[in-house]
Amino acid sequence: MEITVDLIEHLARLSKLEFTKQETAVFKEEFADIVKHIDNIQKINTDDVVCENECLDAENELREDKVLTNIDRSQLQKIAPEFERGCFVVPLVVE
Amino acid sequence: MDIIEAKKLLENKLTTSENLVKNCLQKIEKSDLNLINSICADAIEKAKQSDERRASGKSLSILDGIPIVIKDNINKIGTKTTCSSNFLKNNASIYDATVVQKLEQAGAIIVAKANMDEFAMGSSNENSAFGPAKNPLNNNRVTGGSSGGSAGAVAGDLCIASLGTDTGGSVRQPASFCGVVGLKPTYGLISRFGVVAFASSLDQVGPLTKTVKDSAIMLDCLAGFDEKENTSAKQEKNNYYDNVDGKISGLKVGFDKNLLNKVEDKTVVEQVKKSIEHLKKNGAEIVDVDLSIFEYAIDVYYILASAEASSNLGRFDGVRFGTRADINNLSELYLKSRTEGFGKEVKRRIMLGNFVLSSGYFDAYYKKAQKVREKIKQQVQNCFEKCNVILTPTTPTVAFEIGEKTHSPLEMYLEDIFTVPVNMIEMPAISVPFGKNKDNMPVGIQFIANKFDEKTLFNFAECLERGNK
Repeated sequence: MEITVDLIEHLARLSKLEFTKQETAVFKEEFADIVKHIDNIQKINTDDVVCENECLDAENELREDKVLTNIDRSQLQKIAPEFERGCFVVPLVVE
Repeated sequence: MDIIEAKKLLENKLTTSENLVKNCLQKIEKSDLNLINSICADAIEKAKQSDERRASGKSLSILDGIPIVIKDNINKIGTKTTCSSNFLKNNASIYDATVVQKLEQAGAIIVAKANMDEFAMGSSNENSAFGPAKNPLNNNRVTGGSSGGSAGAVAGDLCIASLGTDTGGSVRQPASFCGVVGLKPTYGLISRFGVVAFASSLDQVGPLTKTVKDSAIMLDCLAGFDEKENTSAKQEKNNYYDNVDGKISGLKVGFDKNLLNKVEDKTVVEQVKKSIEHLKKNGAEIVDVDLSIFEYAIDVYYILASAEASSNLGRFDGVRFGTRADINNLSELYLKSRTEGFGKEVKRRIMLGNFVLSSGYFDAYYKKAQKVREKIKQQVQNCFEKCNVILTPTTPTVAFEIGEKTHSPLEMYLEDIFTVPVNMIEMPAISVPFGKNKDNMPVGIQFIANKFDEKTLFNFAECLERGNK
């Protein structure tokens, strides 16, 4: 399939990433190479495969729903860019 | 020095844990190979406590007092966990990963955190925001990746053993490049709680060690069910170390000779043939197997791993942790924080992931790749009807020069051709050094075993290791 600048810009919007025009041009070429390669999988006949979106054998082991010692909220300020009175601070969202 | 040698020295009072740890810290300080991101401030104090335990006959395990390095995507309280990314360059660990808890409960001393490809995305450790790690065997060459710092730290004697993570070969490939033993255990055998996620259906923690027996010692400590991790497997406790005897007589090795057509490096081909001869001499039988579908594994891997990465890395938005761009608008804050924080390869994988998951491409790529993943699993399971382990080279080449492959992401991806299929089928695999090329760079041989059959894997690896001496 053809990889266009429009597609790269669309994917950048979905990815919440920003590229300069020059970066987009380089990216487009590299992306085209990769997509051409991954297109190889179309050669494999998978009509006999029944699984759909997830084929892992491993099963989720959910723990009992009980309160465990968790991370102390005060610890979060060590990792948060901005933290006040136990809350993450974000820019104004609603006027 | 390996774990068993260190244990003997400690037991015979010929050294102390404090000495071992100080020695590692001095080497880290002097090293200019960029293998280590940060050191652990509590290491010497913990080593003194280990020495006190030993003096009073209360050592916790064979690992008590042994200096260990962990990859910088594993959380340990009191350290930064950066994933070698600008996004997390100041990110404090506010809890311990389960593997850290297990190592520390066994008395091991975590001395430092190792350089890696950013968010574990890479095969050369050149994608680190802190610069490439250099191979201790030849400083102009890469360590491999993404656990390049972890592998290099063991090879360069900056520690006695280390932890890496392996999503498509990230423990085994650098192990092969640095001439150490690298294990990717069965999916679910070691808890990933506290390890920064890349691709959750593929990621595993694995040890890097000087010897196969050390690898078994590490797995004895690390394996086990963890209720904090919902893919953790409920398995009987195994004594891997006690069962390593290197006996393989009467067992069968599956080998697809056509795989060698993918290998241009003649030394790698020669060493694979020599390894087969060595196994035959030790009583193993070689059987032909068909692994033709491995050819498609790289494509499936880059579709599925990127899809999962684009989802897992959605949480890096500049709000709760990591870098925040100086912007006063929420939407722009996401955009700028991610653009400034992530490196080029990480952006490439997020973009690819969003491509294969997006409307119009989902069925053709993501869904199709899941089905091919199932076909790969079926073909490998058919092989295990005929054999106990499968043998391949770990990598198609020995460690290459720094900068040699950075021009082509695709060429770099193809480095992992023999390792990625294993992650997709949830099975365990180990890379063992076997011989060197004329430039003294090591070749790695990979064994793949059936799920939870690490015991057989260790015995084949041990047998081959004895042939490497």
